[in-house]
Amino acid sequence: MTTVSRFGALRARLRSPIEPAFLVRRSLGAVVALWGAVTIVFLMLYATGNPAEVLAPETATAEQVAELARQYGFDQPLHKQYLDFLLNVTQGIFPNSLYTARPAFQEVLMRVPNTLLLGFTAVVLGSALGLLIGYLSSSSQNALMRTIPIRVLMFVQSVPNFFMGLLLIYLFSLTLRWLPTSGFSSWRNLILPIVTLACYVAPNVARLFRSTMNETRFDEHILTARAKGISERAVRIRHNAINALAPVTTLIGLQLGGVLAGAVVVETLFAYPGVGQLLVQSVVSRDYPVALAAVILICLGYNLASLLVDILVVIIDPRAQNR
Amino acid sequence: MRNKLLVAAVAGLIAVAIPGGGAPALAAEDTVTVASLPLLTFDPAFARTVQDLSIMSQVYSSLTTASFVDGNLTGNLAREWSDVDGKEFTFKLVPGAKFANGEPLDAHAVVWNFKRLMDPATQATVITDFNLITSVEAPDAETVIIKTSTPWLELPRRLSAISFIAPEWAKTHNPKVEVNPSGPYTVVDYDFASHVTLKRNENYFGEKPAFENAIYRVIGNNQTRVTSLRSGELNFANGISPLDVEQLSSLEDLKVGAIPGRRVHVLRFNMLRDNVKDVRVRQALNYAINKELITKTIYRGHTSPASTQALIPGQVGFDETMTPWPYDPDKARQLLAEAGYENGLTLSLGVSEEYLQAPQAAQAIAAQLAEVGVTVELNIVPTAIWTSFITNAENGTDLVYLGFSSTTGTSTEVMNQFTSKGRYTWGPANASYDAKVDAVKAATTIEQQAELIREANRILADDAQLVYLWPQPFTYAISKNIEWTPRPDDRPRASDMRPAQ
Repeated sequence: MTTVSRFGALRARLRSPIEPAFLVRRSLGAVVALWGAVTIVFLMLYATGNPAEVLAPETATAEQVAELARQYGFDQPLHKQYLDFLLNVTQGIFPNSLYTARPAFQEVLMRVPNTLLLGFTAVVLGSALGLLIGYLSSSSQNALMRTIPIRVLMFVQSVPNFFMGLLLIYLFSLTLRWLPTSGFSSWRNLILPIVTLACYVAPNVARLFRSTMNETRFDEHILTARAKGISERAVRIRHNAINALAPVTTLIGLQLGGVLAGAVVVETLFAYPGVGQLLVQSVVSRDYPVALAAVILICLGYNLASLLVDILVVIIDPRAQNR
Repeated sequence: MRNKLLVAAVAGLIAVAIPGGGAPALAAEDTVTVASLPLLTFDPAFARTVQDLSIMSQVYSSLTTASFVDGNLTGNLAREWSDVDGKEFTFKLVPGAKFANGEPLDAHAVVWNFKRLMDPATQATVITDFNLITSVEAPDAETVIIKTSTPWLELPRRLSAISFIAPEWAKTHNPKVEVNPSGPYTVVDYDFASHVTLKRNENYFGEKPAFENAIYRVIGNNQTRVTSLRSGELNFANGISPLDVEQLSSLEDLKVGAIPGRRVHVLRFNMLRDNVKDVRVRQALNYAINKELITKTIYRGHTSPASTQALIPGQVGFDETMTPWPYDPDKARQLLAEAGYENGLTLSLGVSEEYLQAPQAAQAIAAQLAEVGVTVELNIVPTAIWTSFITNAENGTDLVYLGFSSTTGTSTEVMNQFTSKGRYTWGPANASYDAKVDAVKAATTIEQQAELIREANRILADDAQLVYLWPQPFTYAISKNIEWTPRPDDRPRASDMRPAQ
């Protein structure tokens, strides 16, 4: 234990909990990750075939495909195409979509609100449900409430995403006929995909929240709080639950990334026009500018989310940034 | 304050993302809802997928229209045409045709479109073979004359896939994402990832479609298409797996069916490999596969074995007298023994999920070949990397499972692929077949051309250059209250549908 002077303690309290060095370190990491992702996707797209093969109609002959490759510059050596691409990007020139001639980022940005709406709502709902059930299973007075909800959630977690989606469609669209199966023409289209994704988020949050609460249940500060005569519920909520939030926050941030990735499956299943569906489509049709733009945006979003989470964790627990 | 900002942000996000429409698009009397794969472009210079071509043929006009129902070629913008020696084609156009913005769709507009397609700067991807065209001229507003360097009898049919856009309009608009229609429908609104909504074009010069509205809903996933059909959100879908065809046929509101499609499944040989260079090995594989059994089981009888030609009835030169290769495992064993493989032979086979039921069929093929002593190593490849897989002959498999079809129904589009110029021709091709296909292209009468095609196909079959399998079935489900004649080209058109009487 170090002794801190009253003045030092005051200064520490006034200082922002986020140090600039921490931000710089994190941002550099994000740039490297971005470059890595772009490189991998670029190589993957080209390693899986000359885009001209896909652009040409299926009845084109080998000669005609080669001519098309020449016109589009796909006949150049891969490293040259890659360096040209990077050089252009650093100058702010990004190729347009091969099929729509619109800027590739515009194509992706048009889909971002759809995916965010799906992802954020699912994470918020899933996390809320997870926190509630996690809390109940660790702290409820009622033995049934402590065991049943978390068991149900475990069961839900063991059902894969696409299968859960199919079950929900079967129940709510085909049997009960309450909700549409697919597409995006009204808010009713959102319910099933959001529930499917939330089913993926809630169990993880619930389990971590429960185990962290249980781990710290007998920590000294909680025993002290109890000894001071604070009510059991207040101890549970203010001292036990709040302190268990830091690791859960990190997890929720990571879930957001997971949900965006999982949305590829769910968007395809529910024919939902989001970034995931666009990414799949642009890879299949070799619209490489759009595929690259989508990956860059997803990577940026993921990094931003994890940066925000790190900042949030530092605010909750300032010791975190020096670890 | 912070909470209010958050609420505002979420509300904004919801407002941006949720479309204005209320109830989901369910079938109305004057509307037909059709399942589509994701759309890529509206530009006729770049449209190559069946879904793009389907929309294109309904919002734009082409000179001719190829029917896949009976193989006939009818006029669209052209009311009649004639040729001199197959090298000089004169098309007489329907007078008074217009684009929606009032621009005339006359011979001058057609000439402009050809110039645009053939200009390297356009980087058009659809103009394969168009280098044969030497000039396109418009002596007057109703006449287009196209001259080619060599006879090209198939030109009028090939032109059925070429739609025209408006020259003046194109100067200030992006035809890849905007439409100035001249066809039976206009585009009301669209999102390539989710839907295209069409409305009847009252100014269309041809026959007006029966349904006022058509919605093409993008549903890439097979399972989702089936559930959407069951829930009544779709009036039409095709490309349904044969198993689902049976399941859907129990529903009261749907008519479900299948006809042999235009795409013929075959196995091709990697002729760089010594083990398939002996014609007896290639013949043995043809004898060893029980196509009858596979089409009855895996395809549920929705198709039948192909005869020894990769064409379908209705195509020029389709030979009615050709029959499927007989199933004779004893003969196969004997041929393999003669070729020196009495102790067995191992072959690798590349298969894509791209072709309907191909992975399942390939497993059955492997089992049948095992019975004659051929061990098959299966390589089942996802659609996304299939192209790279089949363009790399050195590292490729000994056999490849492929489906071949023609965009407009011409025979040479398919036959080209088996010559040395074919994209998936690995190693040396059959030289006399090459020569015969060149002769087919240079033919000056249809009768002569048909005879040459029959001869060419016989050369290919005698040399067992392919293992002939079956035409991929065209499977579909359609609401009972809609009338529609199945066409095997994977391009369902709302303009062909009408309410049932």
